[in-house]
This record gives sequence, structure tokens and C-alpha cells, in this order.
Amino acid sequence: MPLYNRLKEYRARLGVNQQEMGAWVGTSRQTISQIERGDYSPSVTLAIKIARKCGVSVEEIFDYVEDENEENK
Amino acid sequence: MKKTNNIKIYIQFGLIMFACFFIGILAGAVSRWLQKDIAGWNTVAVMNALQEVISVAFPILVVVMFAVALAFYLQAKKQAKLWDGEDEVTISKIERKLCMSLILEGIAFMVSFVLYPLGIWAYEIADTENFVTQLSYPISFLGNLVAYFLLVKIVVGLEKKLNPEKQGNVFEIHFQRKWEESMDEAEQLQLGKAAKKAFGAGQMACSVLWVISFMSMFLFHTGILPIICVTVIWLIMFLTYSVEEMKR
Repeated sequence: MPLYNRLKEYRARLGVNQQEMGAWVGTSRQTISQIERGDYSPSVTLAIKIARKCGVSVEEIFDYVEDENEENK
Repeated sequence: MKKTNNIKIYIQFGLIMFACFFIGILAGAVSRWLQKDIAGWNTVAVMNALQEVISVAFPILVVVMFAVALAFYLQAKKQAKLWDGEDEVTISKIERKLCMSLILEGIAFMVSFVLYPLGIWAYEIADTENFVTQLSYPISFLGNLVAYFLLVKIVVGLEKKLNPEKQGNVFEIHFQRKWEESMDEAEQLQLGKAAKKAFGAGQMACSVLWVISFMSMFLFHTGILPIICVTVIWLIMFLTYSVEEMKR
């Protein structure tokens, strides 16, 4: 399921690296890296924590775009 | 459509069962046939050669595997010093090298659990007595244990430097549990996937080993114990997995 995110962009605005971001939200650097690459979709709790740290809503960082094939079903 | 699919599945299943049945009959027949051949082997001569080979190969294996594993670790350590904390390509290479290091030393660790008793068994049956040969087995085995724990300690140490949230001392009893508890959701998901894959591989290995143990009952007169051991391991894996599944 394609979950797009702008985490890297917001992280750059905050001026923190992945390790620091991970420490802020109680997760590892690898997980932040995987989220940014789109290889992992965070849980609701983690997504909310990330959004709060960035000072925005969850929808501003994460966006779910329906696949065309799924829409036609 | 669904009915046709089900029929296909049942036919496939039937064919697999028939193939297993046929392989079982073949394995039994081959065991009986080879039994006569193996009875004619000069076992003492084989064991004489085997104990000498193991007394040389065992320490070489220990040294070479440790050297290669250490080389991977040292490369990773060097790259970690230069890492800027952001570059994903570099950190990925570092993590891979650390994994390779652990895998290689882990293989040496497991292999030593075969070579050590094999060497002693060969020594017992052989008709030559060589104190140096006899001493080389426990020295190589203990040396390998020391190498293994040393390498795990330094690799885990570097992992903790790269990932400060990780907890646990390699030498404490509950190290694995502490390490897993310090994993986040994504790492725990990955751990679950790895465990599931290991379980599947273990199931396959147990079924193959069962056939080999069955054949060895006749070929090498190993008795029923190997079959019992394999089945017990199989059962433990199956029950552990099933109990964990029930907790969902």
C-alpha cells in the first residue's frame, strides 16, 4: 500500500539527523530511514508522535494515495 | 472456478504425498543395499585418517573464520568512524559487514560442535594414539568459543555505538530479551519475519534429517536415538510456534 510521506523534508526543516529524530519519537534511526524511503509504514502511534514533533498534523506528513487498480475494483 | 481450483489443489497434494511415499521406499531400499557395501569398509583405517584430518582442519577453520570475520568487523569500524550520521548507503554497508562478521563466526561456532565430537569419536575407534592429536580437539573447540564470544562482544559494542537505544550486555543471561525489548516496532516486525522464515527452514531441515536418520539406522547402526532427537526438535519448534500463534 503506497503511503507517501514528507518526513525527510520536515526533518530537514527541524535540522536534525535520523538518529536525533528517532530518539525524539522513541524509535531507531533505521526505522526513520525506512519510513523516509517508504519501506515501512509507521503505526498510528508513531505517526502521531512524528507529526507532533514536527508541529503539524499527521496528514501533512503522511498521505495515502489509492492505487488506480484498487479504485476500479 | 473455485471448485476447479480446489480439485487442482487436491491433485497436487496427492501427487506430493505419492512422491514422498516413493522417496521413502527408495531411501529404505538404498539403505539396505548400501548396508552390505559399508559393512566391508575398513572403519579403523577411515578413522585413522579422519582424526588426523580433523586435528589439522579444525584449528585452521577456527583461525581462518575468525580472521575473516574480524576483517569484516574492522572494515565496518573504519567506515563507522567516517560516517556522517546521515549517509544511508554507508550505514547500510556498515550494517551488512557487521552481519557478515556475525554470520561467519556463527557458522564456525556451529561447525565446531560437529568437529569436536567427530574428532573424539574418530580417535576412540582409530588404532593410533597421538596425544597432540587428542589435545588439538578441545583446544580448537575452546579457542573457537573464545573467538566467538569475543567477536560478538565487539560487534554488539559497535552496534550500540551506532544505535544508542540498544540495550544489553552480551554476557548477561537475558541479553537476547533485553536486546529485543530495546527494538522498536519496525525492528520487531523484521524479527518476526526472520523468525517465521527460520521456522520454515527448520521444518524442512527436520524432515530431511528424519529421512537421513532413518537411513543411518540401517547403514551405520545408529539406532533410534537420532530419529528421536530430530523429532523432539521438530515438535519443540512446532509447539513453540503454535503457542505463540494462539496468543494473537
